[in-house]
Amino acid sequence: MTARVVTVTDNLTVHRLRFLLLVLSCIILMSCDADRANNDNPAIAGQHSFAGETITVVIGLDASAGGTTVGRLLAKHLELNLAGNPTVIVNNMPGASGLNAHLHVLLRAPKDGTTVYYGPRSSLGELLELPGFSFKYSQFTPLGGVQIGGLVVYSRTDAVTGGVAGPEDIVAAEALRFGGMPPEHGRMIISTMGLDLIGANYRYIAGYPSSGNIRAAMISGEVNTATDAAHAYLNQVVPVLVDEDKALPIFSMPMLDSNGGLIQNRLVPDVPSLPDLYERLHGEAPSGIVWDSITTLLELDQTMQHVFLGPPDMNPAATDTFRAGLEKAMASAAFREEAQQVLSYVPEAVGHARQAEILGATRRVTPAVLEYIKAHIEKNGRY
Amino acid sequence: MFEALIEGLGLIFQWHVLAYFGLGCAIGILMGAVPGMGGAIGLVLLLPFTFSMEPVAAFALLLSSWASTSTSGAITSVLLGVPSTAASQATVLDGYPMAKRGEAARALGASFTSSAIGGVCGAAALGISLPLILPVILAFESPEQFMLGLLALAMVGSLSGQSVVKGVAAAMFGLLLATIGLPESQAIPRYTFGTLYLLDKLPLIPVLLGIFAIPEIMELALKDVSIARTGKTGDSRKGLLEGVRDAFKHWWLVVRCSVIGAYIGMLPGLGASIVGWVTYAHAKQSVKDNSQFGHGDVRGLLAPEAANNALRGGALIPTLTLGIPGSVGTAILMGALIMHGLRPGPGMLSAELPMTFSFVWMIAIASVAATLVLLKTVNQVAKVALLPGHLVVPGVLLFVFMGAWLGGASIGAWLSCAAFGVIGFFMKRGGWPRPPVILALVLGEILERSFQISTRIHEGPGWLGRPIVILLLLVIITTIFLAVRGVAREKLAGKVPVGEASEKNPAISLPCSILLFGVFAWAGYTALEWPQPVRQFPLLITVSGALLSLVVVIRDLLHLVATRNAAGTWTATLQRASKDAWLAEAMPFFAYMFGMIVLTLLVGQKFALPLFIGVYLVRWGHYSKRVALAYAISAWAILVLFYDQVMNLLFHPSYLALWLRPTLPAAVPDWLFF
Repeated sequence: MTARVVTVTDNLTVHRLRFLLLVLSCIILMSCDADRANNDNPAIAGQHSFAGETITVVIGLDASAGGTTVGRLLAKHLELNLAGNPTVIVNNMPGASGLNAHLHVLLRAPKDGTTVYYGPRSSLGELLELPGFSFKYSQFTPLGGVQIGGLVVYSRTDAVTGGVAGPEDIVAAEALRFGGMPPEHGRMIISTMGLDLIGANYRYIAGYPSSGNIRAAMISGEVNTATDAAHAYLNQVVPVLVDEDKALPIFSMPMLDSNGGLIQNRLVPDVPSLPDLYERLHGEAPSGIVWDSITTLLELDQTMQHVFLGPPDMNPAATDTFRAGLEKAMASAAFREEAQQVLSYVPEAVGHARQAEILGATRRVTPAVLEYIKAHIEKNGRY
Repeated sequence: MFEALIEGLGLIFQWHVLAYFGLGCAIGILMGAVPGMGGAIGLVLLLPFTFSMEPVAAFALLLSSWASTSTSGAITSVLLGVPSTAASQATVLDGYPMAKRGEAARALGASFTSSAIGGVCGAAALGISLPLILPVILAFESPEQFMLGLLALAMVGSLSGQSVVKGVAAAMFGLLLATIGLPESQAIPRYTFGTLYLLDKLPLIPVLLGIFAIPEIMELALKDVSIARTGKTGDSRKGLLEGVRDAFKHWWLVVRCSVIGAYIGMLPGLGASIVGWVTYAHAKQSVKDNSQFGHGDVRGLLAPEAANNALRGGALIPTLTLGIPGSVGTAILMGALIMHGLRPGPGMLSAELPMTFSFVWMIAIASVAATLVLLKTVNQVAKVALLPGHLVVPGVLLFVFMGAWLGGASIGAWLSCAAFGVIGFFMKRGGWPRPPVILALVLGEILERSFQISTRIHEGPGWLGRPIVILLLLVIITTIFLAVRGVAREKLAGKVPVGEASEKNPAISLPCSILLFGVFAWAGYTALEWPQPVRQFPLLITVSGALLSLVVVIRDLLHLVATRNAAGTWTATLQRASKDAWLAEAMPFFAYMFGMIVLTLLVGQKFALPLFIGVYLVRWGHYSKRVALAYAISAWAILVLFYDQVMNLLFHPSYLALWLRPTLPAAVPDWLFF
């Protein structure tokens, strides 16, 4: 009886071991083949067409995010403008603030251009080595960028005793309450640096999770100074606060043109740009470490907020075709018309060469500027 | 204003608008009934189709879909004990016990009718107070939000179980879960174990589905019973009519809860999470005999369902008039407003007043329309309660896991869903209430944020002296006092507890409380090394959580010793405890579940899920291979046609997909398999 039990047990053990070995072999084989598939790089030169293909645009944002609407619109026009008129579908992968989507394209996407990343970039995260940044943007294949719009810093008119009549009055405030997101947020850093530059006194109230929450706090008067993207400012701040004489713009952040020169934000031509306001207040052009940090951040973080990225070593022919299709799509009258209707502004294209230059900006940050940025974050994060 | 009200109604009564309205209702009903979907996902799907539509038609489509989801959300809450969203948790407390005792049709009839009344009353309350309401909304700044969140936690902690200490300790566990990831104050990750998945906070839906759905599904599988444990639902037509009558019989309660729902819904961020609990507590405290609450009292169902629908209209008000969206759904709606050239702001109450009223009308009418459609289907839907458990389990698991997947398309979602399934199972078996965990997870971020913002703005605790804060603090103290008194009275009266957290199994509860104490101790120790704004909230939670769980440990120990004395030996005590908790049967179920996840890593969901279903039905359910095959093919079709082609989900890139995809002939679409 005992012997029989032992035999059965042994047989079971052998079967289990065999099964385990089989499963392990399968996994190893699949992994090897998967790696081989990933490393395939046919590099077909010349004409390339996406005819009959399905391109997946992986968006590193929640499906409800405004950026997803931009991505969906671009996907629709890519379908019309990419050679071969492929089907373009959008998949949202918002996890870890979009880092999952970055890593999905970096590590798992096929090299044929049928899976690309679209969404925000965080070169600042790369520079500051924030948690989760295990990659560099230079590892991706740049396919083109999208300029969403610059920033406007605005204040409640009751922020200063006696009222704020114009941007110049803001420097008289004893302590503005600036409603902010985590102090490492690029938009918050550059906007509060702008306030530092003009000499405004403020307390940074960290902890608001989104611009929407900050707008709500501005409306109730919980905070009295904030920053917002220009299009959001026009659509959501002006009707509720500015038109009601409860707030007014202080300055707009300048933008960079294709050569890296400073230009006024076209969406808010009437709002003084930061350097203009500084000149009005101090009679000279801005300079020094604060201004150097601002100009560094303009390129590093505030130009080309959204990007299309392909996997490393993407098929060169597919890369060229994608880049050409994206440029054509964003220049098309149909896209511009629909963007104006759907988004109430037209995102501007950033060519892939300029995109690569911007993505490489982290390498050009001077140690002094880096130290200043870190110290500024620490100051805003004090509790 | 009256003219604008009528003009607003007139805008809806155009043929094409009505057609879009009907379509939106149908989509909303579907979205609400599928676990993990909810109103926001419906809006995301529909939004692109509205780009080229005129505004009234576009909003007819969007708002009718959005409003209908909260009506049909009751289906899973009542039939499966699975809240489709955090807002409908309170519905489960009395809805599911009703379904279990064979009153599914009555529960659904009551819940749908209450939803319709809620939608209409909520809209009416808004219409009347629209021009006066803005100052009230603006009075709720961060200090008031903090206290309101605390009030909701106190309510859920004390109302959803038989032990206030366990309830509050469970809430502390939920708050601790809410601290996972990057805080709003500084980019220092908390309790992420180096994983990317946890960096962005623990997503709600996988936890919600895991902690509620899996233990309930397991019960069907382990005991092989139908949802209606009696095996009969009675005359569903009669039950349905009784449910409708219930709603009208308790019309004053329904109206009160609708008005409360509409006004709480206006508070951005908090409204949707707490409204069910606030109205449930109101119902329990305001009725004469509340002894059946939590055991299947229809009034416990009417209150949150009325409020859930009324809050939709309320939530729209700050979105339209102040440009403050309080939730993902309202944020999408605000995007749609801008897209159609409407600028949210005071202008919506002057120049665009007819349009604003048309939106309020749409929500009210959609609630009624969805109810009429759903009432027609109750007879069929209620039959699900009679299906053999083994036929229900695989289908529900498919929707539960795909619902969890929807949020982030990451295998981490499945792992957390399964892990919280295990946690939920032990909580249920050990008599720990589960709703406080979920509500605390939802509110944790808001509480931490509003506490820190209040402290920063007032440079200290000065905000505690604000009038509304003091008022809310008094309500919190009263709530806890009433709850403790209620539990003590029930114990003195010797009532046998039933419903959520009613199981008494100290041998299961004790390891849970010891583990919880260990988790709090470890989490508190870990938090010590973080800077002050990052560690402040975790420390507050862990210290109070550790103390509470220690109290539970002592109580469980005393209970266990008493049980051992009654049983005679430790062996007999533990054997009995294991048998009562169905532990031996539960382990293979967990193995099946985790096996399916491992299989997904290898071959992807489109193979793993149908395979799991087939194997489950043959091996566990003892169904024929033909039935199993048909079920598995249906599941595969749902994955491919609905989740892939309609929802455009990104499926897990399995090893098999990476290996086989390049070799597939061009004529074979790879989305059929990967």
